[in-house]
Amino acid sequence: MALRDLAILGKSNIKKDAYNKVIGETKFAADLKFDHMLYGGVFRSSVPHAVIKRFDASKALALPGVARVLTSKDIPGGNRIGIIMKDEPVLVDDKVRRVGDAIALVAAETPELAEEALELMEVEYDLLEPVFTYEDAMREGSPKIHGDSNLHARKHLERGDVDAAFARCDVIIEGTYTTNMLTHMFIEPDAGVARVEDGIITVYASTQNAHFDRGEVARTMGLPNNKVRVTQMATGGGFGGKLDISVQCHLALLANATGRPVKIVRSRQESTDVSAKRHPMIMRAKTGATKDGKLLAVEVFIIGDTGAYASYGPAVITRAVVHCMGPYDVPNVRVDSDFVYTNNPMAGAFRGFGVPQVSVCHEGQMNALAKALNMDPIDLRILNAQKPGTVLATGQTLDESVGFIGALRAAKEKAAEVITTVKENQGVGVGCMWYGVGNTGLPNPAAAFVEVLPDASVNLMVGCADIGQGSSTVMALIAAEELGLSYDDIHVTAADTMVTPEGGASSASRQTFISGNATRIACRQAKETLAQTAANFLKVPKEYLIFRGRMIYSAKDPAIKMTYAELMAEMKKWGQLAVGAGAYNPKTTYLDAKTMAGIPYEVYSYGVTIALVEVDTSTGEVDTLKLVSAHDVGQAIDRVMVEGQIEGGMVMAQGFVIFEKIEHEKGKIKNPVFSKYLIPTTMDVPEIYPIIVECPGEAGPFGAKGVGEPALIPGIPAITNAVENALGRRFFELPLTPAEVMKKILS
Amino acid sequence: MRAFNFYTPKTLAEALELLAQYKGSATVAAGGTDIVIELKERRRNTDCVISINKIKELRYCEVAAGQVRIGALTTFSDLENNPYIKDKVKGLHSCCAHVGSPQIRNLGTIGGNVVNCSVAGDSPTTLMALDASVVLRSKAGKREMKLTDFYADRKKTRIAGDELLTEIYFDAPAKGVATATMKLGKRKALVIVVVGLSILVEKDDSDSITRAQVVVGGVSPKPARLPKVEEYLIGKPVSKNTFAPCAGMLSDIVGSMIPTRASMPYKREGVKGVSDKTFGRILVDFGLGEGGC
Repeated sequence: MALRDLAILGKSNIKKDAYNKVIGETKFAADLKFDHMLYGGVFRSSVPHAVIKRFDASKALALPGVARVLTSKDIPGGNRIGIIMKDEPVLVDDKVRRVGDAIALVAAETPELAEEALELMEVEYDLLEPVFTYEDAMREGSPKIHGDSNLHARKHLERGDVDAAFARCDVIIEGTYTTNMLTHMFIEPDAGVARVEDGIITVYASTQNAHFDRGEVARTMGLPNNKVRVTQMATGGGFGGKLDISVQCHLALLANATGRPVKIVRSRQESTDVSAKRHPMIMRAKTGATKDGKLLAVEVFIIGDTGAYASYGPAVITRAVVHCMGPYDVPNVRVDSDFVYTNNPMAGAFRGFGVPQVSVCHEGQMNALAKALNMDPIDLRILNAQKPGTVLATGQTLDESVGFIGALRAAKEKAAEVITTVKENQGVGVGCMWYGVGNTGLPNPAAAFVEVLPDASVNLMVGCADIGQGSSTVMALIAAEELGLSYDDIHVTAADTMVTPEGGASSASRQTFISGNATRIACRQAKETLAQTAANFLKVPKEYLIFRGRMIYSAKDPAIKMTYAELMAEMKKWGQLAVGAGAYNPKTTYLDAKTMAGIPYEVYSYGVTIALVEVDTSTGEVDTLKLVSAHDVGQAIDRVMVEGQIEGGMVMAQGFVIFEKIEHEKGKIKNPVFSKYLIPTTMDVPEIYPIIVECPGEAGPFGAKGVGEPALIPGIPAITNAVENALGRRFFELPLTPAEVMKKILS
Repeated sequence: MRAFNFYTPKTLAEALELLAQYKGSATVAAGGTDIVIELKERRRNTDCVISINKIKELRYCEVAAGQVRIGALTTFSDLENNPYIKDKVKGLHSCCAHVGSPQIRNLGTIGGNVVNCSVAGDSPTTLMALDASVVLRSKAGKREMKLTDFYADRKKTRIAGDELLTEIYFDAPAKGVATATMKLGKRKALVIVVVGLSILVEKDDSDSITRAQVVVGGVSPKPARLPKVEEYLIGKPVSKNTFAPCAGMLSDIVGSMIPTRASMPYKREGVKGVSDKTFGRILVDFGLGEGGC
């Protein structure tokens, strides 16, 4: 039975962007063309750590058709960018810190000429000793990448008396888990166009956060924020990889210097070489429980490599530390973590911000514990599951919006139905996760503007970037529900800094919750005026009015009613406009610097995956056969979209476990293209059974939480555990390629 | 991509004329699935591209006088959907059906695949197991050679700059011949060959093996015939027991072919599974088993 009485939400709709994408009409940044447009390119470092001794672009400039070459000296404003810490140069000025650092820009009449110009540029380096590992980075006297320490961040979380608790444990499980560097492989490589008109620099870009881009471009150009316009173009996926600045600042510099529109479209290789990667992590965990399976203590140490620049590293370390004990009630917890700078590719945001990595660790531990205690893995989790009232390691007490046990039961029930036999060389595995929605212990607001027009159609303007995940559809549905209109009545304009208010990043599974709440608040404000006008007309107190199904009626007597058309005619008659502006910032606190106590997130999403796999023991190949995945999303806004997220997440989980790893050597990525970095194809996709679990709690819009990242995470430990069960052996490092599986079989 | 002259001859004669004119400096594109990428990524620079895929006369697959003759521009999709290949040359069919993806199979040609001679190419291994020959034509004339001779070394063939590979042919499998091919890749589609194995076995009426052609791919610059395995098989009965030891033999051979390569330990093991499965298919083709040794 549905938890909430809703007119619009919880059904399935056609996404706002679907039709144009299907017929190929959607304009991506690379499709843009302007008169007199130039094509830009970036000259990049081929070494990981060096001072530039000499740079010479004279041959490039001599090439007919080359308009301009720019270096750091040509930057009118600041030359440091970065999402959290401003530590990355727009163009190298002091030294090169990674392979692929931008050294110079070129604008030319054709893309071919731009490429040729890049080949004609000459550089000489004074090489510096590079740093590629945690050990090297932390070694005394090691070369420093930024400032006087390579320690990018250090975190400590502590609750209870961990040592005393371990002393009371009947069973203790210890394990060290390693996950590797991964890349997003969003389908559309980064691209954009910039142009200057009437003193305004406009950048059209493929991005996950137009408003962040605006600030970075403005600082680079030395301009006020309102002289820069960033318009998000249709964006072909991001998964966190389009949160950092890619082409935006370079484009603004070139357009400003040449006075002509400039376009940059990265090749797949350039895109993969320089966009942020998933942090490789090493996690050492100790888990203690009673003989009945009740968790008493967890201790974890996490090492991460954030590469040459911070990017979202500070967010990844914080989130990893807060989540690494898993979705369980653990009274005693101690976590320490060190993230270091190296001269490796920059690591940053990638779907899950460190939680996918730590899920490998906490679920590896739980599955080992279940085995040691000879307990059913689901029962063990139900026994320890977070539920309303659980006190977290941060000291936060959970409210009623916790649907983990519901998800565990739903997954178990469905798995019993669809996984009826487990043959030889097959295995079943379980994986769980929790995920705090929004940024960790930090303000992260979003806003929305709405106007109900005279014909009862609606313009909704949100900063939130729709990168294919469907946020514009979600916002339209929330507005329709709140205003009592239909989905088709709502037009959404998203992520255009001259039109829409700040939306923050489309990351951290936050937009449905935060921009959704902002949208609802904006609609409520518009509704105030509407309700007052309707109340005057219908002669009932406005508190009694219900807006639903394009009608306004009295809750006390539904016969007292008017249509939206009648209402809008009344609004016109009385000179009223139905407008609203809403902003929402999740109710969190900063975390204590010493213990990380506080309220890191307002709500948490939960997920449980049960996997069936088959291992070919003669070749080491793993075939993922079935994935049952149940997700507590609070309230589904659109069912098919939630199911789509789960299905996509499960396939990405399969890639994480079976296929994917960035191979890098001396700071250079060896497999930056699709033919070398393998992700699952449609032929590899298993049968997926997505299950939507809803729960009480009204913190989100109509109770909705987030699912974008949660959809990925539990599949990773579940598939890993299934392979372990098929072979009766444990794995402590991913991916489980045929060669690795074979090695394990032979060991 | 740099600028170049681009030709689309409609006939073989036109193409050969162009090749002669450019004296070997032209790049020939058949399906383009490799060349276009190389050009785009500037790994290959050329002043002239001759795109031959409009030459209809080079797209055919016919069986005549005991031979299967395949035009160079026949696509993998053509062969995958050819009833004769599907029924009678299972080794080739399986090979073609597992090249890349449907999009690549629709464009990629068997001639292009043979001339491109990638270490991890799909069809050379299979065609060598079929003991295929190639026909090379130029304005000056025509020559033929065994595929085994055609491959000189890594990424090198014996084709001259003014020649076009126009046809591949091999003996039509007679009664008593079974063929099978398998490739080990890192996922189910769109993969290069990690280890490929292609086998042709001929037996007499008493189920005794009279001919064996065993070729391994992905472990040397060009596919390698394995005389040691072939000799072992001759004269033995077609059976699971006969085939079973081939796995170990193949493993040893692969180990000795690439002793220092990092991938050796895996390939040496994986080839055993591939051997069992491929010989299993031979048994199935003979109607003697359900697959697997």
